[in-house]
Amino acid sequence: MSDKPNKLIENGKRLDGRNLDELRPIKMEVGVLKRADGSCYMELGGNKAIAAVYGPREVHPRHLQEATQVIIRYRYDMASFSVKERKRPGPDRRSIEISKVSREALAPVILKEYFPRSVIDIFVEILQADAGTRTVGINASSVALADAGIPMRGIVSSCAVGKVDGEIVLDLTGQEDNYGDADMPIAMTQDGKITLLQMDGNLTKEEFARAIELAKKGCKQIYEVQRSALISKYEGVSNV
Amino acid sequence: MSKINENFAIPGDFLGTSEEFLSTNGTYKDKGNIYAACTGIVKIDTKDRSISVVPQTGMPPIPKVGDIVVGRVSDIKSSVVLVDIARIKGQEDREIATLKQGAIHISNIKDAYVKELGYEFGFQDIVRAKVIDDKTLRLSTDNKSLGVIKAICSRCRVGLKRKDDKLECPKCGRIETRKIADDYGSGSI
Amino acid sequence: MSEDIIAEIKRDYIYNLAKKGKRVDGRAFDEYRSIEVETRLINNAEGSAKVKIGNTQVVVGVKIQPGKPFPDTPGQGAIITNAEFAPIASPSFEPGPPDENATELARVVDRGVRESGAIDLAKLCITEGENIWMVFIDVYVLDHDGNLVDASALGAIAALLTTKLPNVRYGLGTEDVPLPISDLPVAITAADIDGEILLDPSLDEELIASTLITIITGKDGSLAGIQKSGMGPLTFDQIFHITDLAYKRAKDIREKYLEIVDDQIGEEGKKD
Repeated sequence: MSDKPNKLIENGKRLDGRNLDELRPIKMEVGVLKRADGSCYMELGGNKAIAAVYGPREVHPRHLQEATQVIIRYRYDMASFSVKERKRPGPDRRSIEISKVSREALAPVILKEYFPRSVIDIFVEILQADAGTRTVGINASSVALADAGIPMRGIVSSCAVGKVDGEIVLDLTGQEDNYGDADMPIAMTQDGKITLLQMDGNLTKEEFARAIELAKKGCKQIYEVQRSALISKYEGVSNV
Repeated sequence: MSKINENFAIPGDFLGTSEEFLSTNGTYKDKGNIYAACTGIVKIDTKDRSISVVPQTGMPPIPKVGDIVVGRVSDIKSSVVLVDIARIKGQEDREIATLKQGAIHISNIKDAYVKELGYEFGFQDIVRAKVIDDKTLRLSTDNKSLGVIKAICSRCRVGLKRKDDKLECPKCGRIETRKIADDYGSGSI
Repeated sequence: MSEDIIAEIKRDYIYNLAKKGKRVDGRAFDEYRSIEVETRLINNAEGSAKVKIGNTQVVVGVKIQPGKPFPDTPGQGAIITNAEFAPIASPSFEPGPPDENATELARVVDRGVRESGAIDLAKLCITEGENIWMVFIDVYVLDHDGNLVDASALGAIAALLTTKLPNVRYGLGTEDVPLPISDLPVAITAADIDGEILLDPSLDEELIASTLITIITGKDGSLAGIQKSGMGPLTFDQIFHITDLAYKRAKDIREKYLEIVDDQIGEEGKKD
């Protein structure tokens, strides 16, 4: 990784020129894969990821089935070339943990009782990583679920907040994450229920409260991107 | 809470209250409010005040009465043929989301007397059938376009070729009977 | 899998069409689907390419790192090729280590690059017997609609063409230089459908083909690799026919998609 710069924030601006409460540029496209039942491509700064949804479909092995509701599986995976140092393909402890908390971040909005004994598979492939990949995975997955027509209570939006050079900032870069004081990924529903919350680093109670407020603001902006991605894909289509 | 963009909704959009509307397809109710559960066009029926969202995305295939399905014969009992349903016609690219086993009762095979099911279906045959009850997945092949669309010889397991209204094994010459669909062997779903 | 039964039904349809000289998507037997090649899309990789053939999509990333040479080739760089069938790509792909199909794909891609001599491995020696450049070619299948081999092989060579040796990062020089590339291997796959030979099989065709065969040719038209994959036998006449077709098609693809990438590098090199 790059050497530690003297300052990560100068005159209220970050090294990439952003304000403290500003997200990196976002690109989102719905329905990018033919085979998947639902899919979404997302870029956030240097992050590039694809989420795909399959199902509801038959559960193998059978004993995993639940009689009254659909089960959800989530697999987060980083391509070997997505990071500077080649990563060995396949799961590791980090990706297993991220898969678990991401699944739990999305499960609350899925109307699970519609498809008993079936499974919904959500797969996320990170093609290029630049800090915040789990939030990108959750955002893209949420839209891919909608693209697959899975009945949902709402959309889940996610972003990271943190503390860098003593300031609370939105959407950390790799550098800010490495040399900052705290990193806190959050996911929430559009009506403000928190479905993912992790933090590593140090924050005072006051800073934590400010970070949560900033995360709300970030998720709101992400939500608007998710919304317009779905609308621009489907508003013109007429199936009526 | 987001406002509805004209009459287009995405999941979670507030559509109205249950005092104003009756919540139907593509919506869900929560504490007296009605929200969209899918992505599509909001429809209000002024007669019965029902509100629904007509999805514009692909949807998980669920067999409904009138749907044409294809599947494989998994068992032949004395009065019923069991079919593992693979796909719904028109949604061939996507696996069925729920219950997959359908049944054709002896009375729903064709508009004629059926003496024995073994003359109408063979184990592992592929059939095209119509859904006549979507709760229990009862199927019917009582139409000339419905029935077996691909069958294998019960002796040598190779595909049977159509010969008039019967089927012939190209390998051993054995003649078998089936309730065949009129386009048997064409390869259409 | 319910996918199998659909393939079984479609088999008759595809066979019947093939007898009339037709394909489901209207292509001629020797016609390819549309191809798109995008390069340099992954900043963290030393080289990268995304290839679309029809609806099939693969991304290939090349990572270059210093490492120890193999004992039998102390003065040569090393190529390590891997393929991942990402479960996003197909309802029949499951998470897990590469299965036999993914391994076969990786090895066929590797063979084309290695045997054509596309990479000048002698130039990848840093210190003989101690330090060499290791070239990791990682293929990720994103959307599987048939003919993964041709897409992956094209992605691999396109990615290698954009690859730079990271001298600066590892303190081995003052600038990053292009990976020395001396051939442009192109893989062409054909399917045998009831005796008819169809180039660039779609997934529907692949599922019912009795066999697939891949022919990899280099710039001068010589063969750099062959793989027959599937249980159906082929006649000598069929194989010679396929080799002829493959050579011609490979030439077109090389001129249209690879020499362009090559030129871009040339220009970029001049700018630097």
